[in-house]
Amino acid sequence: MNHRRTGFLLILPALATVVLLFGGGLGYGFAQSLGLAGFTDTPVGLAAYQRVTDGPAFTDGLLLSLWISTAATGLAVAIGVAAALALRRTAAGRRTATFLAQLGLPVPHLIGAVAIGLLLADSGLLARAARTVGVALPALVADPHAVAVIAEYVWKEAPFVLIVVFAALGGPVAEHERVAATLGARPRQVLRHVTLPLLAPSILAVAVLIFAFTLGAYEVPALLGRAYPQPLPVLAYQRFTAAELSGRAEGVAIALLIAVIAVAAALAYTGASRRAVGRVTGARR
Amino acid sequence: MTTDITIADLDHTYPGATTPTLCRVTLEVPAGSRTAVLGPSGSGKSTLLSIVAGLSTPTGGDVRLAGHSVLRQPPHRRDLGVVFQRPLLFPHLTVAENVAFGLRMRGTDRAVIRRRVAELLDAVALPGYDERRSGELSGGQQQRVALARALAARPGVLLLDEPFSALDPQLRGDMRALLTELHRREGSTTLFVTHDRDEATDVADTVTVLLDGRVAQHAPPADLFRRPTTLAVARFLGGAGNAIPGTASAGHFDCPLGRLRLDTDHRGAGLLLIRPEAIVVGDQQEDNVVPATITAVTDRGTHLDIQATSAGVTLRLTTGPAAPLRSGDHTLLWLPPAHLSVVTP
Repeated sequence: MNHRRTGFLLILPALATVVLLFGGGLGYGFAQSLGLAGFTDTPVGLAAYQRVTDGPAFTDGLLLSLWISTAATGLAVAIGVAAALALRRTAAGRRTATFLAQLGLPVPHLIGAVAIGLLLADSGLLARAARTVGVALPALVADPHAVAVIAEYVWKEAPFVLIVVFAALGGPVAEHERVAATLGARPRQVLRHVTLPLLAPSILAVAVLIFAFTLGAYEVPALLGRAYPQPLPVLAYQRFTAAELSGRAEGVAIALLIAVIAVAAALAYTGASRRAVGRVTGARR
Repeated sequence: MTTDITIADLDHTYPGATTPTLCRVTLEVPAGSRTAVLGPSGSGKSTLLSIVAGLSTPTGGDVRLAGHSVLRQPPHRRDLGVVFQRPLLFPHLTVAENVAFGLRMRGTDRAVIRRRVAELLDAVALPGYDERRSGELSGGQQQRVALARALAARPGVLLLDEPFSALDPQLRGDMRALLTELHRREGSTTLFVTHDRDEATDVADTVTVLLDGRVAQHAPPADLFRRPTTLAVARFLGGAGNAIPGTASAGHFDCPLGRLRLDTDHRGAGLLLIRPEAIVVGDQQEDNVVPATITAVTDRGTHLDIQATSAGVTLRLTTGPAAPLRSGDHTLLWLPPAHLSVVTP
C-alpha cells in the first residue's frame, strides 16, 4: 500500500503535465465542438459534427486523406526497408545510409513541400527538363492523386524507416540469418523466412507512426494539394479560421474526428499487418 | 550419409591484422568420426569452423567435403549443420518449426517433416515441446533444440562451436552424453570446437590442439595427455608441472634423477615431462624407480597434492586421498615409461 502511494507520488508530476496539457486541451476542444465552451453560436449538442460530416466535402476529404496516408506509408516503408537491406552489407553502405538520413531528417516538412513544389510543379524543374526533350508531363502538383504530397512524405519518411530498420538490424538478426544459411536456406528464403519476420515488429511500429502522422499533417497538402477535395487536416484548419462563429466548433470537430480515425486506422492496420506477416512467413502469431 | 572433411594448408589473416589467425592448418576428419579442435581463446579455432561452414573466406588453402572443394560454395549448398555457442533459435517460430526449418527450406513433404521433427524431439528428450517458443525454454533446452535443428536435414557434417560453454557444469556433462548418443544415431561427421579439454576428450575420438593458429598436435585424447609433442601443448593441457632437463638418447633419458628408460624419438638436450597423476608411489617395479623425500602434502579432499625432491629435482604428484604419506617421509617413486615424453625445451 505504502509502495503504491510512493509510486503514485513519483509519477504525479509527469501525469499532471500530460493530463493538464494534453487532456486539458483535448477536453476543452471537445467541449468547444459540443458548443459547451468558447465564443460560439453553435447550439449545445452534436450540431457541429452533423454540419461537418454533411455533404460530400467530408467524405471526399476523408478518402483523399486515407489514400495519401496509405500510399505514403507503403512507399516509404518499401523504399526504406529495401535501402536498409541493400546498404547494410558494407561499411561504405552504412555510411551512405547515415548520411542520407541526416540529410533529410532535420529538414522541416514545410521546406520539403516547397522544394517538391519547385521540382514537380507545372512550371517546375522536372516539367521544364522534360519539355526540352519533348515530353509533356501530367500535372503532379495539385493533381487528383496528390502525387506531390505523397512524394514529399516519402522523401521525408523513407530515411526515417531506414534508420529504424538499421537499428533493428543491429540486433541478433545477422546471426539468425547465418544460422538459416547453414540450415540450407537460399538468400531469398532467408529474407522471407528470417529477416523480414524478425524486422516485422519494427517495420510495423514505424509504419503506424508514419500513417498517423501523415493523416493529421496540414502543411504539405495545404501547399501541394488541390482546392477540392481537401484532406481532413486542411478542411479542419479552414473551418477553424473561417469568418463565421460556428467555424471554430466545426474545425475542432473535424480535428477530433481525424484523431478517432487515426487511432482506429492504426489499430486496424496493425491487426491487418500482423495477419499479413503471419501469412507471408507461415508463422502463427 | 556422412562426409569426410579435408582441411588443407588453410591460411587466414583478418583484414588489417599483422599476424595470421590461421597458419597452414591441415586436418583430416574421416567420415563418421568425431574430431575436436581444442585451443585457448584466440587460437583461431572459431575462425577455422566458420571457414568450414562457409561463413568466412580464407586467405589461402582449401576445404574439401567428400573430396570436393567447397570454398566457392555458399553455406546453404554445403550440406552441413552448425550449432553455435548461443542457441539462436528463431524467435518467431515454435520449437517444431525451428527443427523443421532446414527441411522446409528444401521443400520436404509435410508428413515426412512431422515424423522427423517428432523423432528428433524424442532424441533430445523434449517430446511434446512442439508448440513452445524459445523464450519458454531454459538455456539447456534451447541448445538441445538447436542440436535437433542442425541435424534435421541429415547433414553430412555437423559443426559445433563451443556449444555447451554457456551452460552450467552439470548440464554440460548431460549434453556431452547426448551429443555422443546423437552421433551414434545420426552418424554425421562431427567437427567440434572447444577450449575445454574435458569436453574435447569426452566427446571426440581424435583431438587437434590448435595453438596460435597452428596445429600443435593431432592425436587420440589419451595420447595427447600421455605424449604431448611440444612444451606448449603440455602447458595447455596442464601437463608441464614436471619438466626435467636432461639428454635423450635411444631408449634412455639422462638427467639428475639418473638414467630413465623410455621410448622417444627425441635426441639430445630436452625436457622430460610426466603428469603428476602418472607418478606411482611404491617400489613394485625395477626400472625408473627413484628415491625421494616428501616435502609437502596438501589434502584436496578428492586427492592429495604432493611435492617431493629427488637428487635436487622437485617432483609434483597426486595420490588418492587416503595415501599414508607425510611431509618428511622417504619413499620410492616409479616413473612409468609409457607416461614419459621428451620435448624440445
